[in-house]
Amino acid sequence: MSSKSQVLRERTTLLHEELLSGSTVASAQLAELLLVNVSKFLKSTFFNVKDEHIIATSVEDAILTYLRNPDEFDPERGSLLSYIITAAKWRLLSAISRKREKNVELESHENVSIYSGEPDLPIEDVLIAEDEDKRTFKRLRELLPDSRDQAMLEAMMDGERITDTYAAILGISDQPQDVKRQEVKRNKDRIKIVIRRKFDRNQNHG
Amino acid sequence: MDRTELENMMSGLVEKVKDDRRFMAHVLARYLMIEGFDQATLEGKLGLSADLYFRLAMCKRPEKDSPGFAQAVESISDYTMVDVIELSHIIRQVDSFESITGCLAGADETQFSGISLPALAAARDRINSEETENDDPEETESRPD
Repeated sequence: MSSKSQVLRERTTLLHEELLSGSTVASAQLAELLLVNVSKFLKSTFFNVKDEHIIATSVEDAILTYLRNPDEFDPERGSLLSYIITAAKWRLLSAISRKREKNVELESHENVSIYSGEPDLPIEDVLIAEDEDKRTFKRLRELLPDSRDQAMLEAMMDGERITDTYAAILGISDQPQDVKRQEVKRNKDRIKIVIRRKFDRNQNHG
Repeated sequence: MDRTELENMMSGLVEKVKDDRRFMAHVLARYLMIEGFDQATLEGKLGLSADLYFRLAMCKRPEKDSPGFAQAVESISDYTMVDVIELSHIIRQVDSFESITGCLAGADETQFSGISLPALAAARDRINSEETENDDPEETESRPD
């Protein structure tokens, strides 16, 4: 972990402890710090999402949920920044799925490979290194041009295991559960095969 | 993230916590209502930039009966650069307002906007004394011989 990310992690951890111990200013300090860093991360991850309002709302709601119940965050399970980013991402993905169900066209995002390559990479490092990952974004866009496939991949990379999340992305939420399960599995397998084939082809030609 | 975008998000957060009495955003929203100010006027009165107003609003509200009240107000004052006496006055005024309006049960608080606290306190005292007077005869009647 870089020194910058270490500082960020230590700072948020300390403020969390102060918040729990009754500090009146820790909530404001955390709000400011989290707002900037979580927004920065989500905006780069979901840089093709045109509606900035849903990103802002997801970040705000994730931060507020934490500030209202800070004791629900367990520092043993990861950093605070990672916790808030995960919560904000789920809110955003859920909002995107709802918009998709309303046939609103949204381009998806591509830098999921940050997680595929280094699943244990601390969010703080990801934030600081994000500017170096543009090439990865471009490669994934080329491999999976379909925005629905990209959203599926994003959820897969995030370790999402709930069938209904994928069903929402695929627009089959109203189908029976067994049909949803089969369709989700079929699409997941298809995406894996597409990526593997295209990636191998690119490697051979590259 | 540019400055305007950050300020918009800060405003969004403040707007969402203004109904949560645990935050200073709630105190500030009540104070604006009591005084009939808008936010820009209050920022000017306290000498606050938009950033500092956000900081102030996102602080936790010091509890009036807590032994650490003064220290908590000082911490907020240091962090937001608002005069500690001014800040204490705002919190106390809102606490008093809530205490008074809490006694005027079922009332819509926004109708008290612009009415001075002494006037509200007088109204509360009058209602309380009328209730006491009305209660006495019933107590006498229901008392067994």
